[in-house]
Amino acid sequence: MTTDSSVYHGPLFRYTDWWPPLLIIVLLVVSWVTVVRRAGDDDARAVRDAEVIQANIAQAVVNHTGQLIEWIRLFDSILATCPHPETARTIVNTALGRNGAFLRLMQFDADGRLLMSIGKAPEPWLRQAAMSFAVSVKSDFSERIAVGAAPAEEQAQAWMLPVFYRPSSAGNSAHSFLVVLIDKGQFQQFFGNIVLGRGGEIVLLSAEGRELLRLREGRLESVPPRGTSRQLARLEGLPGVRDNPLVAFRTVPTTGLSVLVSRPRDQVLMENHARQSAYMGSALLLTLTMLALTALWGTAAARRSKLVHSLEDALANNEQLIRQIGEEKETAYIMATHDKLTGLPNRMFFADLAQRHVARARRLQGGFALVFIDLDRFKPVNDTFGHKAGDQLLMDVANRLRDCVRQTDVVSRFGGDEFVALIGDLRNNQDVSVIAGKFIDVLSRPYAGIVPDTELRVTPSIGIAFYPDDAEEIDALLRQADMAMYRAKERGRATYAFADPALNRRYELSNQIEAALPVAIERSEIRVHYQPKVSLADFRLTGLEALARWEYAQMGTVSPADFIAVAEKCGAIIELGDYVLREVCRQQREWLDAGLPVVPVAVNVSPRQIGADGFFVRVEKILAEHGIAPALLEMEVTETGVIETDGAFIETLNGLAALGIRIAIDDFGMGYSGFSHLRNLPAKQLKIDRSFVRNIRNDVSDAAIVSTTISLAHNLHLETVAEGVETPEQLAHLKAARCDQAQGYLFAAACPPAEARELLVRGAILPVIAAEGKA
Amino acid sequence: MKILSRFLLIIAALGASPAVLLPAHAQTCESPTVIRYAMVPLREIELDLRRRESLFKRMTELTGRPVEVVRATSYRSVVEGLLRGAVDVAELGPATYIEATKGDRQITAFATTERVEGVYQLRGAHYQSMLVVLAKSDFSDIDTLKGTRLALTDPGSTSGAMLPRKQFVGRVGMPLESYFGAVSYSGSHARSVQALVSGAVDAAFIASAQLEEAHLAGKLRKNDVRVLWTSGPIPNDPTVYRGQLCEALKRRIAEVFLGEDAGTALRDYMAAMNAERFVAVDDSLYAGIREVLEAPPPTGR
Repeated sequence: MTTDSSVYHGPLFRYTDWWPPLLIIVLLVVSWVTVVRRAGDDDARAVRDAEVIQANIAQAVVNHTGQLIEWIRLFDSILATCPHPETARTIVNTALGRNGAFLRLMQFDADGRLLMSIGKAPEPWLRQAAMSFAVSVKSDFSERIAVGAAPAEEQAQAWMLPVFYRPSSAGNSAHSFLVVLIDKGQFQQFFGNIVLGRGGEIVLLSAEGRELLRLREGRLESVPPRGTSRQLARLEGLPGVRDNPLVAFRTVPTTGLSVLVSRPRDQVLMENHARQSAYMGSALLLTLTMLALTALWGTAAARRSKLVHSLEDALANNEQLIRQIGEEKETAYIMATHDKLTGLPNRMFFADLAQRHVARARRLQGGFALVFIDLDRFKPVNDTFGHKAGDQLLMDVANRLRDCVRQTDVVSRFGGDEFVALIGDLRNNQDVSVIAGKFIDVLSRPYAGIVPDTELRVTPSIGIAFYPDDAEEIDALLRQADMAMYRAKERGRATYAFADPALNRRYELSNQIEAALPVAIERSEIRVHYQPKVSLADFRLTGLEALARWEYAQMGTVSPADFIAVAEKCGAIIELGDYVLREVCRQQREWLDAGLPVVPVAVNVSPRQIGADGFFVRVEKILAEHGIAPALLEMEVTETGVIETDGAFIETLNGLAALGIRIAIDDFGMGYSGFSHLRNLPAKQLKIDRSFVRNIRNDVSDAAIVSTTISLAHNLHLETVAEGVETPEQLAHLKAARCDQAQGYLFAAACPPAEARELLVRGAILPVIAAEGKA
Repeated sequence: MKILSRFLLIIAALGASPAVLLPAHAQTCESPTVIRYAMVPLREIELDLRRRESLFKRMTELTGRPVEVVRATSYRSVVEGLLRGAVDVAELGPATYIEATKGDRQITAFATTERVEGVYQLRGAHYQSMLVVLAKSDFSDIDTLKGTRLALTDPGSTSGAMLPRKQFVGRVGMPLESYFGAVSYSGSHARSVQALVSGAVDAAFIASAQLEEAHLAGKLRKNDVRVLWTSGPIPNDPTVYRGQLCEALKRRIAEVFLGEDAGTALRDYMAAMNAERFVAVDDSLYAGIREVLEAPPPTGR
């Protein structure tokens, strides 16, 4: 299963596909809410802004007008205070020229008669207006300011704005006054460029509310021809304005003049609405664009995910195909290399595996065995119970074989009822014998459950060949094993044979022994001989070692080494051991009853014997049966046996020692156990192996070993017994090394009970110096 | 306070030139130390000043006096300045010239321009008042203009106000304020063009010379406006000096415009004014227009 991240495994749309359009929709909603809410706020804000602007403009006009009035006051004071009238007039004239607002200045007396004019002489309408002003201000003495207008028919003079100024006279009855003509064009120059929008007006009103000038959209309105005030009419007459014009109203201090700045409210809102429409338009355009893009995106995403799906399907198909091919290949491989019925490697694959073992064995200089297994009497099973039963039997056989070998070994089926096992990492040929025996044992057990109410039985015939001893090629090895198997069949089935004839002889012998031994024990064909142990100090007889001798009719005398090994292997050692023990005790009883000076008799016990259930009890029982004191019995345990045993074994040994039986370590020096191990044993005696004793004269190192062993044994309070002492030189050496006792041909070979009786009687044995020892 | 300090400054300035402080009639003629120059506002004053740099330079060269420009805020302010003796040389319109001479007969017109023929402008020393509307508007003739918004320039302008009030009202039979829905003064011809183009007004009376100037400046393309009415020919604007000035100074001032090398010295100025040359004039050139303007107002009803 691929985990490639580029492969799309999700549903048609994943959540990651949805967030961009969702985000867009949220943004649009927020935008629209903002736009709509702002639209409402904007109107109020626009009105507020407009009002502020208008108020500022009105204030600017007020300031400007106020300054003009200030100038007029200044002119008046120059003219009133300057002592030289001509000079005063010149100064004022120059000042008038500096300010474009002033067109002309005239001075009238309190009765309205012209005193002087800087500039053109007053027109008749001006004289008349001055007269009217004089009359109107005559009754009081405070400062008076009035603004008049040119008559409507004097169109050319329409922009002349006459300002009448009379200062406060502080009680003086007659004070002249000034008439200053102000140019309306000057207002236009100052304020005409102010953009107030459509319908925006700046109006200057007199104290009586008369319109003095009207600046509409930056242009000065022409004064109406009839000369009537149009101010209110205009304000009220214009549609939309009457409803609610935005008006800023300011008065010019001390003059009575006022300034009106107005704009139609709908104009202000219209501009605002135009701006809002632009916003709305933009928002709408943005919305449509976004939606279009989202739609496009959605289409593209759908198409993409469709493609991804197809791709995914294709990939899944491919994957399945690949998996199928892989499985088929594996199946084909297994079928080609394994037996269909049992699942074991077939002949071809076995050859391959065996070849690898050959390579490995060559590299490690090791060896392995080929075990050829053929089932005896398989064909009758097949014929009687049918192929199905035969097949099931073969499967069971395969399973049993598999269970018998290690993981590293190979079991294969060569076809029919032929199996071949490869057993690697061999220590010695004996291992294979054990395994072959196990095969025979396991395969010979009944097969239940294959045929109802019947237990099938088959036995194997086994042939064994060794690499590299028997052959170095697999084929040759197989041939050798096959031939060995046939030999096994000839020998009588349920048995095994080696390819090597020598091995076969030993095997045959051991087989014969194994078969005959129980019978021999039963018929008491095993004789017990006794070999004396002699004290080296005085050659006195110190003990006897009981040794089993078997006179076998077919084979003659059987070597103890052979039959004891077989007995060990097949388990008969226990019976044999008990038999010897009982025979020794019987003999001791006999000698005791005869009044002979008995010495302790030693029996060899194998670890298997000691480990067997109830050994201690049996020993106790046998001793009691014959009324033999434990002190008259010794037990010899091999050093090798001691090393390979466990705590229970030691416990039994301790028990025996506690009973009073002396324990001796036999064949010491072969097992490399060392002395530290001996500390834990209840041993009293150490028997030095004959192989050391044999070379004691020729091999310096062996002599040293023997001396050292003796010395160390003494340190552990162990008696030492040298085995196999045959020559006087050996005796000399051993004596020099302070060995305690000796045993061997130099003194006496193992002898039947009758001869042993004589030795007991003699009590001492001198070494046979002249003669060559012979068993 | 501000005004007072300004006044003291004026006293100080005047104190440095006693001649000015002396009464005018103490001498037979005036010979001021500066030449005070003014012109009726036809366009933005800064533009007017830039165009006349060569003129002022030449005038200073010939008269030995610096030129001080009196910034006029209306046609009327130039007239009143002349009559107060606060302006020495001025460029007037025909009507302002006539108005000024009514107050002071010594005011003398001595020069005017002859113009190049253009899209609107006649060749020579005359121009016309034209009633124009935007070509894209629905106003096809004068009758369609009833009740609309009209822009005049300045109450003292011959072509922008005076002549329409004298001649055009005869054509429609009622005062402008009655015929049109709203009548306003823009302040100058240039601003009238602007108001018309921006749609602030529906129609405007504009001098042909100023239309030509707007056309040349690219503010008005040839087919942008439609001319619905044209006045009779008006003599070009006179340049005047006050009669009280000493003769020698008058001659030198006239020489600035009419001297042999004036064409070279004032070439930039004339090009900007779309003028071919300056020509000498006298009061007789304006007799015809004086007659028209001083005629009793048409009854028109």
